[in-house]
Amino acid sequence: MLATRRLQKELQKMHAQLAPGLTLVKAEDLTEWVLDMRVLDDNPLYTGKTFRLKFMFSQKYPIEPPEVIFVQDAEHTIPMHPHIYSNGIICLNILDKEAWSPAQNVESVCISLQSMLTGNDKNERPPGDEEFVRGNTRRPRDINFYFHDNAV
Amino acid sequence: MSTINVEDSTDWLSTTVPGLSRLETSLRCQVCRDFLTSPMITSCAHTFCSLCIRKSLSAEGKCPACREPESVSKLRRNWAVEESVAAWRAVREKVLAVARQEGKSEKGKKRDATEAEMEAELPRRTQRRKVVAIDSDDEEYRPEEERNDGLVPCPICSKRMKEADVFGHLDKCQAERQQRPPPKTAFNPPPSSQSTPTKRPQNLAHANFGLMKSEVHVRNQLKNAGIPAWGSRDVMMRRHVEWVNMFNANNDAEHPKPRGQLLRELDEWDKFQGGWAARVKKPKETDGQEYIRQHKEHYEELKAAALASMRKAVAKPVEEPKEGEPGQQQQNAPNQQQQNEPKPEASGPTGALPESTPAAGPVARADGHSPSRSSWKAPEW
Repeated sequence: MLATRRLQKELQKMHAQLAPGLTLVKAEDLTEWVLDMRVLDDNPLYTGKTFRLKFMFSQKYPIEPPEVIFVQDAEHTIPMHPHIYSNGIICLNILDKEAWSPAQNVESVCISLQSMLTGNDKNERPPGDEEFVRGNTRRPRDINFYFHDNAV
Repeated sequence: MSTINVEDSTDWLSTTVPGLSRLETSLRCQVCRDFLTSPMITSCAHTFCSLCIRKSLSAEGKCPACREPESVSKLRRNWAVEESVAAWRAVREKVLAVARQEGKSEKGKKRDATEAEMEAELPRRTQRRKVVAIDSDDEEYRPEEERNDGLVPCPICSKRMKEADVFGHLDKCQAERQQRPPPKTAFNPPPSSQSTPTKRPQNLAHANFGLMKSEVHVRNQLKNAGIPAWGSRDVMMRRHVEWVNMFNANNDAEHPKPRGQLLRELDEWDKFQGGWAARVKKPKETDGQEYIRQHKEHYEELKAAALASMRKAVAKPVEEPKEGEPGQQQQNAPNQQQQNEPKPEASGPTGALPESTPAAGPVARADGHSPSRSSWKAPEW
């Protein structure tokens, strides 16, 4: 359907040409892609760091926005930003239903995120980050860990 | 829709004419990235496929390109773009082959027949383009050196001559030109498409489901539209929206598909929805069972621990009430549950947790920690 065709085209385009600072890491299917992103200017908060982004697409893409989060692993951290929670969840209006437009695409979202980082000089997390992150890890696999920790 | 076409504007980047990539991007819809199908222009002057813009506006009444408020009733067909797309698609493959081959032979310093052919064709082409340019706004755009040669172009055929000769030439030129078919027609809508509106059925209106209280009304709406009327209210509503968009977009097409084919496409959409819904549901069930199986051991552990600590709590408060309290609070503080903790100091340790509900401890706490989970976890327990 629409999502499949559109994503195939985007993928092909990204294989051919991708904005500077972006690398396609994984796009095995048309539901989840992983991209690496560097900030191009010399913002001391992010220089020399590569951040990993995960895109998740619904069947209604591009009418509906993709879900985009920063991924934390051995080599990648979550960038410090007043709109990025420490669990990688991003508070960006274009990723919200209200401000998303079907004319946006994976690359344009990445570029928006790049500029969001470039323009930032605050080395901080959003207010209430700790609570939010705790609230958001209340998922099956995380609860066990939490309880385990609490019980011991 | 069945054949997946992955040709893209980036095809041109590796050829000798990478600039064509831009041309092609402008002929593609920003929503689906395909060539514009039945292009419609918005009141903010952006152009999208009819179906794409209708779907977008159904989801949100804003132009996808500029976010200006827009409504379906303001959409108008964009014939010029439709013609351009059709013309471009007709030659695309050939041009692509030529543009790729040219790159290869240039590297190898080898020229083959197709290229020679193309070269022979070239002068004719450029001439034709010049004639067309008269009708466009490009008239004033001439490279500088051409303008400074002391000659002036004929306003019709753009042949350059002395200024004094122009009037004499014009009569000849006009007569000559009338004999040929005017090049303008290529860019105008073909007569067939201009006469079509009379044959087309009226566009369907989106139903106002908000006003329909009962599901029967919704169902009737679908029956009246002549489309399948099964499924939940939500499914029916979405199906109707999809149908109206498909129907109206088909109305915008130069060659509308028969109704039967549209209905088949709607059926395809339906299957897709059904398949999608089923796929979402299934893993949930298996997940739950898997989860129980995987974590049964841990749960038993927790249960035992809770039982033990409860017995301790029941036994201890008599001797050392101070120790029991902070312990309880530590466990409860992060939970913030509403169940039996409004007054933990008063009766928490003893009164609220009798032995009769040993399992209630861990279960309730788990739910307290995961309000989102309680909904799917509850039925299994």
